[in-house]
Amino acid sequence: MPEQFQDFTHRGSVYDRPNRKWICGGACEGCPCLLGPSAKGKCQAGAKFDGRISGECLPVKHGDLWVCNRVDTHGGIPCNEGPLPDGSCCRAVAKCQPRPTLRRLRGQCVLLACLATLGFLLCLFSSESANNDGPPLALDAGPLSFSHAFLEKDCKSCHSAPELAPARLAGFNPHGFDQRAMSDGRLCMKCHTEIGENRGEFAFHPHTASPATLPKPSSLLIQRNPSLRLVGAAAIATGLDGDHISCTTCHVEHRGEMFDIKALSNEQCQICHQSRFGNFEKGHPEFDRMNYPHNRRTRIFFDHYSHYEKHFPEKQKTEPDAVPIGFDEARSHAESQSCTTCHSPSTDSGQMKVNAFEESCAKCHTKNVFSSEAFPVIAIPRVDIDAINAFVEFLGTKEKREEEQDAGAWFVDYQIQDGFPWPMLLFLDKETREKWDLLLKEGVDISDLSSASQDQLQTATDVVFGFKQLFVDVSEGSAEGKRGSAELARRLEANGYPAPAAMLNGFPQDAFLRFREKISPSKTAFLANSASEGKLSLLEEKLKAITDASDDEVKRQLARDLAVPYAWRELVREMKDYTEKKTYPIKKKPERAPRAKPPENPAGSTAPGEESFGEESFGDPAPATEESFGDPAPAGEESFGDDAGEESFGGGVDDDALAFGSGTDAPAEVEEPVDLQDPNATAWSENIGGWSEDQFMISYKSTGHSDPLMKAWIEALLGRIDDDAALSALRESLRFSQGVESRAAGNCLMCHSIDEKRDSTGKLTGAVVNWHSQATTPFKMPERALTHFNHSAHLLLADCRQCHVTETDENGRDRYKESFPSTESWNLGSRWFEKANPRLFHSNFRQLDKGSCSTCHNGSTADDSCLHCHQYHFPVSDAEAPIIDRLLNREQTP
Amino acid sequence: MNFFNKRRLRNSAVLAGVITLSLGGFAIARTALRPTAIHTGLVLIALLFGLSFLNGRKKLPFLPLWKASTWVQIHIYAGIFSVVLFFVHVGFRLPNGTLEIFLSILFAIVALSGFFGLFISRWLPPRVTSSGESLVYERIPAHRQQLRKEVEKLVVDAERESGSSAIGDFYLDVLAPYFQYDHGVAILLGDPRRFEHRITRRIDEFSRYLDAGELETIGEIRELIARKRNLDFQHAAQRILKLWLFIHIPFTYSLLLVAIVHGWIALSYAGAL
Repeated sequence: MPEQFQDFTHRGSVYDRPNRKWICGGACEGCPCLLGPSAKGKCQAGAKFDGRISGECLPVKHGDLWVCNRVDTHGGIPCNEGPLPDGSCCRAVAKCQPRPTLRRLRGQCVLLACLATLGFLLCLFSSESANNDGPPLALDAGPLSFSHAFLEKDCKSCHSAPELAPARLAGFNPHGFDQRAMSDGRLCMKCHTEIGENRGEFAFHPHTASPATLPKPSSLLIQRNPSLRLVGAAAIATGLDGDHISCTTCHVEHRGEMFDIKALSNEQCQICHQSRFGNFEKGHPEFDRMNYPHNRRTRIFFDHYSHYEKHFPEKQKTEPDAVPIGFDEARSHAESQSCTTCHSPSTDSGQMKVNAFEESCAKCHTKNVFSSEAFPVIAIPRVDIDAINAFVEFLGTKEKREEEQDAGAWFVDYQIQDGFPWPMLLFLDKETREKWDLLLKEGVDISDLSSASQDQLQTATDVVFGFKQLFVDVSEGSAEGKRGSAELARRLEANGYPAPAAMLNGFPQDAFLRFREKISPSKTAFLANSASEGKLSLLEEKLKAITDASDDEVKRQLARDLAVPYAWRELVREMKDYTEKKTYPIKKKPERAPRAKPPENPAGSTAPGEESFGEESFGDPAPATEESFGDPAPAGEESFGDDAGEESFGGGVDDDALAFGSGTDAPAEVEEPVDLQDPNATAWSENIGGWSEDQFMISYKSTGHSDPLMKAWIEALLGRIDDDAALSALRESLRFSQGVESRAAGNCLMCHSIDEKRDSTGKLTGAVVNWHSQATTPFKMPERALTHFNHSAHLLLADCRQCHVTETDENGRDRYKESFPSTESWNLGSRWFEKANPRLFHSNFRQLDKGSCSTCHNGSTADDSCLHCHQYHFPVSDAEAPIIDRLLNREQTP
Repeated sequence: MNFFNKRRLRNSAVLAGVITLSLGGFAIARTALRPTAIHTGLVLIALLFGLSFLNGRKKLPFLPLWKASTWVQIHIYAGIFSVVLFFVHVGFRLPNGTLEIFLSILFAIVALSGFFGLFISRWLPPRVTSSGESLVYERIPAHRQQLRKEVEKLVVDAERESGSSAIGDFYLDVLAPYFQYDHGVAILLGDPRRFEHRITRRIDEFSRYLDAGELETIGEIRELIARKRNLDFQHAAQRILKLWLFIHIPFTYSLLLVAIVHGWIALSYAGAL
């Protein structure tokens, strides 16, 4: 018995062919046939070769004899029987069932696996997602983040080329990554309109901000930190070079609902930044290097020192309730703990906001606001009308002019004595303004034309008629078909003031009628013309309605409607002689009263109370037989204005008129005394404010803090610093250079600072008023826009003084005031805006110390990552609406 | 240190270096906000094709492209690197896309079967060698048949000489099943001689009743039992050394197919196609 199974001698071993796919079925019995199975796995036992049947061997022919050819492994040669005569083997081999080799089986498994895989892929591509309205399962790259989950079934919302095409396999484009990322990113912008300034124009720039806002990318990408230099180089080499940073650069989707797609490591933040940030405690730059948090002037001028050391101590003696809670006279400002009286944390922005005026300032400064002066908007400017008339007469065209323009002479008695109504210039037409500017440039004063040349007289004459045209257009209607405040608004808009409605809200339109009357030589002709053209003024229409009404009750109601809203202020001013009486008789007599003869009036003016609604009289002088305007006016005739320029309602009235007060024509029968409010005109004007007309000067007085019309005027004037008239109106009419304690009309600007406004080239284009203590547009401060700090969260752990340390050095304290315009700076004329740069600022608080933050924010006690305090995206102001709003709208849209 | 240890140390060092460089590059690219998934994916799919070429290389032995052993070494270490690269590619997290999950499962099967193959190809061959005569796997059934015939011949001869059926009865009761069947992969686990010892203990108990002639026969049968143990061990070891490829190779082709589709989709959506 052999000790080894195998004999590898050439006679004792068969030649194994493991690469064959089939093996003889007898092999497992130790007796494989010599031929083995065919390539197709069929048994070849008994197969014929050249007509001879094979067996244990296939005999070979030696000469004429067939010789056994059996190999040793199958019994050796020769067999006892020998080959058959025809050359066939005499020892037949039993048929078997060939078996596949392992190699074949493995190949079959590979084929099966491939087919199964292809089938599975086919199923994935042909099957849709669970609810049959999404992409095929094969394209299901995983759940989107929570914020984008609603887009899961809508690939086209985020992918600009969502269709798969096998043909694309032939067109590999290595540069297509960036192009596709950008095109996909633009789809993001459809929803994320809050990203990128100028409606997404800079959405793919660093920090999604304009290159003008941030330092240039080329300088950003210079790495000083050796450990990050390689990263920076990789970033540059692979295309992260400044103007095409797509959204997917940082935000990777399909990582599950809870995946934070906004996460960014500290190192990733620093690939573009020059300074090394090992961590906040050791690597972050000190705040003073970045002027954090204050690198701009406070929007509201408030000197903490003057208040704490001067005003509050004084106020505490007279009005203890007016000083901040916690104010202690014995403690300096630096030690005060009364911050939260005026400051409170904002829950949404995290800022420490200044409380509203009513909470913080009103207790002391209400009087400043309500006692401010009115500023003249419309008035009759002082004109050297004699010189102009002489000039016109000299030219011989006076009659022609009057005929054409129906403007008459200048009403010298009503022109203002002091100054000039600068805001009026804003209403002049373009040609008149140009001529006015020419006169101003040449130093010609239209109130004194004694030394003016002939050309200047001509220009001044045109300017005067320009003013007259203004009065005519507003009172009668302009060629554009507008009159009253609509005409004024049109003129403002034509002169480049985009929001005239806010500037003229509640404008007393009827006052223009009186202007028109005073400057016209012939009111009869004027009224005749107006009536024929159907262009009665509002007041005229109402008066005519009263006159034409047949029913007394209607007349009374019309008169009441007329008196109260349109002439109340004028009425109470005229009726101030009756203010002591508290009651006002109203006539109810239905019959027309006999017209009373007017009393003699030596002064030539209608006495108060003698004004009547009856036959109309406008202007002076006029024949007694005609309607007369002005004085002397017969009793029973309506008269508007007297020499004093004041209109009066009341006095003698006829039967269809309504009389206020007593007069010579006072009705005999007083039926219903109406208890009206005490019409104290002075108190009204000082306490209520609003539009008023006095001495033919239409002016406006602030109605209180945050008066919308005052704001509109100031914003409009500051928005047009290229207009000398606007600057003059600011300086001379609003007189905001008078100081906070003054009664100047523009004294709001002494607390509300003005910031310059420049275009992208740095050119000064205007100025804006800081009406609010906090920026409503944080993007105006690029570096601050990327930093956020939540005061609310910190107030729980620390008091204000821990971070905000006041400057104790007197020089440092006073520099705060110097950052704001002083009276002198306003008087610099057109150079006033030199102080409008909010960056030129010195706080009277010390620079914040980074150490006060890193005490906690050191990575162990509190988070010190970059994104904890900074955000990447630059906020923009022109976003359409919050995303959630638009999404909700879309949901509601069928 | 022998050749294999040196080679293993050298290759491991190279692998560690490549992995370090790759992870460093990945960290740099990721910090630089580059599309690392695209980069690692392209490298990974190239690596998978490279790994699968080992099979092709074996089918093309005439090509002068290094020795098969070199290819195997490359295959092993590149395979390990591909596993590292796979984790980097998926971001060290479980994928959640349908196709990606399927692809990951396939990769896991291929990788795990590869590691299993690496393990058994390092664990079994020394044991096979020390077990006894090394046999050609395809001949083992024939050897088993041959061995069974030999033991039956011994039993028949012994009965004829002794005129007793004791050995025959013992053969039918105890020895026949042992020679008829093998023990599968169980013989690879634990002491491979435990089945042999179980039989020899029965033989020892039975031998006390035999005469000298029969004892001589039983002695020869003991030798055959030992050879059967080697036969079974060889068969089990070689079978498992061959059968793991039934997992590794088919799933590799499935993996390649799905990886191609995944790459097509990914590159299409990324804009390269």
